[in-house]
Amino acid sequence: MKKLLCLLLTMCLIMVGMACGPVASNSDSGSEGNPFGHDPKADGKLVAAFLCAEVIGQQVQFEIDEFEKGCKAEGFDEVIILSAENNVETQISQMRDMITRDVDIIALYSADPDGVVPGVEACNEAGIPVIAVDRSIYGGQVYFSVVSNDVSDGRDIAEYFGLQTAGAPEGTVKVLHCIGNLSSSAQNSRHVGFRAGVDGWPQLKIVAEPATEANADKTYNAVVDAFKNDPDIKCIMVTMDHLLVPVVQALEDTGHLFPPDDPNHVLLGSCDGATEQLKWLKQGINNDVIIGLDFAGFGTYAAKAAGRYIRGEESYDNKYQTISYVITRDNVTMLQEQSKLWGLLPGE
Amino acid sequence: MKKAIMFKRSRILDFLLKYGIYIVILALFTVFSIISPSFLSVRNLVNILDQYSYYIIGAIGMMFVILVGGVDLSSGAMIAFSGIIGSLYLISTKNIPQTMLIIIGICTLCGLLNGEVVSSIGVPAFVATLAFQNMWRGAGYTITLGDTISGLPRAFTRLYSTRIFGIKFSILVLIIVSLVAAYVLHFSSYGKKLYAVGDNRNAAKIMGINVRRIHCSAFVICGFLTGIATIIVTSYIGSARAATAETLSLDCIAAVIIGGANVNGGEGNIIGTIIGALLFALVKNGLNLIGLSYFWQLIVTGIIIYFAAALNRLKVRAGLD
Repeated sequence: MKKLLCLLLTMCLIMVGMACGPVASNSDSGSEGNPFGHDPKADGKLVAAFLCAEVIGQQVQFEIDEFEKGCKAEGFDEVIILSAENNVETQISQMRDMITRDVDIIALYSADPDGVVPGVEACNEAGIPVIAVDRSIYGGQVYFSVVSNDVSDGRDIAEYFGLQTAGAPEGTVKVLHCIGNLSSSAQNSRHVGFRAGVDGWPQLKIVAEPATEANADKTYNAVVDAFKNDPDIKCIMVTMDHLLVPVVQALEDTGHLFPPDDPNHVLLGSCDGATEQLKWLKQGINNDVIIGLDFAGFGTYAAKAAGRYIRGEESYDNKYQTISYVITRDNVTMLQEQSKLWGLLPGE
Repeated sequence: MKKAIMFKRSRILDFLLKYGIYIVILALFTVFSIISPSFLSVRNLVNILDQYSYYIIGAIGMMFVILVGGVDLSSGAMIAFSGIIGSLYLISTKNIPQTMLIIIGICTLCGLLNGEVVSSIGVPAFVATLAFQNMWRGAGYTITLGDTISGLPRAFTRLYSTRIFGIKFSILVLIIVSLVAAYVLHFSSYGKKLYAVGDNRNAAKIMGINVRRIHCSAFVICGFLTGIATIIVTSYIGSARAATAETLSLDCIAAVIIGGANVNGGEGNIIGTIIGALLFALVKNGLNLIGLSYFWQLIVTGIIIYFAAALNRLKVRAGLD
């Protein structure tokens, strides 16, 4: 027991000593937070960090690859990639770790636009610029934002459903709205936009909003259960393309998978612009509309912004909103040929 | 009662088993310091304590429950739920002390509920707390509809880094909680009863210990400490979300087990729990600083935690604790 007490007291003394100790500032990096130029570190190395809410998914990997390539082209020596698994507290800790690491710039695909503000403010105090990628940040000083409008993306799916079913009597077009990962602010925004879009079309009526947590098994079960309760569902919305795989499987297993030209065809809509689902559109099977986000643009423009910061070419608070394309069977080939689709390059 | 497994072993093996966890920490320190010079700096070490103080406090709370042979999977959800309620109250009243009391009160009541269901009704702790985890987190999502509660008063969001007698608030709270918990566990009759109940419930009952009350109280203490952790983490992130602390419960359990506790109860101590939690924090911090890819981080973290936990269990089984 005495030994235990001694150890505990020793640990406390160490903790107190560390806690009271001077906190080294970022000044040894040579950077004084000059937003119009960057003072190189003593070792001359340029390090960028890309802190992602999550790294799962073809689209995010694409975004990361483009950012890495772009940074290397801008002269960065090292790019650190971290994932917060959609946890705000983890992401803030990672930002603080990158401050300790003394990186030159942080690109942030935030887990939550409000929640990460303390981390952004810590970066501001440390003189490390923050670039918002994919979604905006609602606080702190952000050097540059390259973002999409997730609310608008969700609404565009509802608009498509509305246009395709225009003229139907009020409340007769039944919609299954599969709720994705609730800890993802991007997916939540898409849901908000979708609901707002549905409200604008009187014939559309959401009959079920099962929580699928963006999980394939739960999505499959949600679709099967929904059609058991209501076999007349006409439209299904999911937040991410890959969730259409279990949706299509469920439709097939329940006997509700019909070709697009069949009057019983169920309209399917999703976001992102992943390869497999774009190919379905090209082949004219399964799905009907994809809101294609510019994941290549996220990575590329973020890297260019990082380069501009290093050269002192741009001031703070600039923003670039990427264009999302409403991709259907009618325009998918044209968009592909014009290199607008990150998931389907020309010639594929 | 400890059973020591008697087998022939060398002094070197004894040394490795007894001090294995410290050797692991030292090795990690060395590796991370070599690869990333910024790891072994005062700023970074203070940052680790700062960032993970709520986690260490949560682990101390979890230790009480594990000591009596239980587990609490709902502590992360309690943080989310009480953080949301507290934040909404704080935004409307701007009263920080009352908010803190409400948060602690909610978590303590949740802990009491856990304890009553497990000790009085007899539902296995794993199942009961898993159910409550869904309830509290679901309640959080229902209230917020997935949104983040932000706009908390600056006085509250700066709280965790405020210095009192030169020590950061979050670290000061951690020190006080550690000292009080150590006293309660190792120097009070209540602590002895906790160990007795965890070690052998029937023997404890025969000795005249109110097993049900002691068992329930462990969950109440865990709830209380979770409330303290909630205040720190809500101040740290400056907002409240239903998704906050999603993995906290499992991380706290890992810290307690790494620290040498027995999942069946009756074994464990504060020092071990704090060291287990610090090891976890050091690994996360070190891997971030050296820039290891996220996918490799998952693998490396799992390997380190496995070896650390295995070393501690071997030490206990060899009677070297």
